[in-house]
Amino acid sequence: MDRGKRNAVIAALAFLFAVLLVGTILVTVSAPKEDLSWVPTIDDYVNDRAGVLDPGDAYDLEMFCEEVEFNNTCQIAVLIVNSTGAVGVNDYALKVFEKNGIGQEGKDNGVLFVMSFDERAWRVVTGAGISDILNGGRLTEFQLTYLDPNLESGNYSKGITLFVYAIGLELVNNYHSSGGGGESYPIDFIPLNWWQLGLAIAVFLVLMVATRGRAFLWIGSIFLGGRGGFGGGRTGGGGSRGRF
Amino acid sequence: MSVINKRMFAVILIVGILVVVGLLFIVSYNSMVGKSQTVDQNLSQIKNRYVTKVTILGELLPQVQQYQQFEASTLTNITALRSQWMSAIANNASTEELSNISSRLDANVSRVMVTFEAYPELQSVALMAQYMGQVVDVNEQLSYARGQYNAAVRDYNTNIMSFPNNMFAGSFGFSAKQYWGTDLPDGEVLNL
Repeated sequence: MDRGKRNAVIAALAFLFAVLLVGTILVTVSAPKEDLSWVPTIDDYVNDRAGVLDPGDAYDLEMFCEEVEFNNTCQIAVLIVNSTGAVGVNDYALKVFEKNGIGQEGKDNGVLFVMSFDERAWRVVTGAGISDILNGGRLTEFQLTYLDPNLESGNYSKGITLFVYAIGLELVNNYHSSGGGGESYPIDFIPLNWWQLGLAIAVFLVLMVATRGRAFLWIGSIFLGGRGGFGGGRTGGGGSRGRF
Repeated sequence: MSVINKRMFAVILIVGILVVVGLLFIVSYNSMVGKSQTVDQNLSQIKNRYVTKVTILGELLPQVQQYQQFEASTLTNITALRSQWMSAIANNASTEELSNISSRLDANVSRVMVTFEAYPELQSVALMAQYMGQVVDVNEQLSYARGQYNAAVRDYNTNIMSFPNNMFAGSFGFSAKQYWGTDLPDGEVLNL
C-alpha cells in the first residue's frame, strides 16, 4: 500500500471513529425509555372489558361523553377491566391516561375513570388543565353521593353511570374552553362552517365521479372504524381513588 | 504524495478532528443543560404541590382537632412540620432538606388518613371527607410528580456519568443530582 492510500485509510478511519463517538453520545447517554406496550389502547369513550355496564347505560354514557367533548372539548374516558395484574389500579390508570393522551393537547382537559373489578378498586385520573375543577374534594362528594351507595348495593352500572355523569356535568358547568365549543355550525353535528361544508361536498362529488362510486366504500370505512382516539392531553397525576 | 499534499492532509485532518471534538462538546453540553432544566422543572412541580398540600392541611387541621380519635401528638407534629416546610421553602433549602421534611410530614399525614379510614363516623362528616379527598388528590399528584422528578434525575445522572460526558461534566459544573425519597431519614422513628 503506498503512502497516499494509507493516509486515505487513516483519514477514513478517523472520520468513522468521530462519527461513531458523536452517534454514541446522541444515542446511549439517556436512560432507557419505559416500555408501555402492555398498556391498552382505547379508542372509544366507554370501554367496558369486564361486562359490568348494562348495554343501555354504556350507550348512554358513550353519547354523553361525546356531547361533553362537543360542548367544551373535555374528553372523558371510562375503562373497566377484570384485573390490572401486578401493576395495581393506580399505576395502571396513570399509564393508560399517559399512553392514550386523554384530553386535548395543550389544554390537558381529560378525565379517565378506571375500575378493576376483581380488585374491587377504582381510580379517577384528571388532566392537569382541569384538576382545579375536578379536585379531590369535589370528586369525593360525587363518590359519596353516587358511586359508593350504588357499589355497596351491587348496582355497579348505575353507580358508574351516575358518577361519570356528575363528572361530565361539572366540566360542562365550570370548564370554559378557549376555541372549543360554543361556535355554531350550519349542521349541528358537523363542525364545519358554510364554505368548509361546500368544499367538502365538492370534494366528495369529484371523488365520487372520478372513482365511479368506489369512494363510497372508502368513506364508509370512516364510519365503521369508530372514533379516532384521544387528543394528547397530559395529567398531573391528580384525581381520586377508592375501593368497594 | 507530494510534501504540500502531506501538509494539507495533516491540516485537514487536524481541523476535522477539532471540528468533531467541538461538535461533541456542544452536543454534550446542550444535552446536559436540557436534562438539568428538566430536573429543575420537575422539582418545582413537587414544591408547588407541597405548597398546595400544606395549604390544605392548614384548613384540615382545625376540623380534625375537634375529634378525639386523632392523636394529638400527630396533629402537633403536622403543625410543626408545616411551619418547617414553609420556612425551608422561604430560605431556599436544599433538595435533601426539603425531602426530609416532606417525608416526616407525609408519614404524619398518613397516620391521620389511617385514623380517618378506620372510623366510619368520621367519614360521614361531609366537610372532613372532602378535605381528606383533597389530601388524597394532592398525594396522588405528589406521587406522580416524584416519579417524574426521579425519572428526570435518573436520565440526567445517566447522561453525566456516561462516557465521554463524564470527562468534562464536572468542569462544566454538572454534578449528580439527588433523588426525592419518601422514607424517613436514617434512624428516625415517627414520634407518636
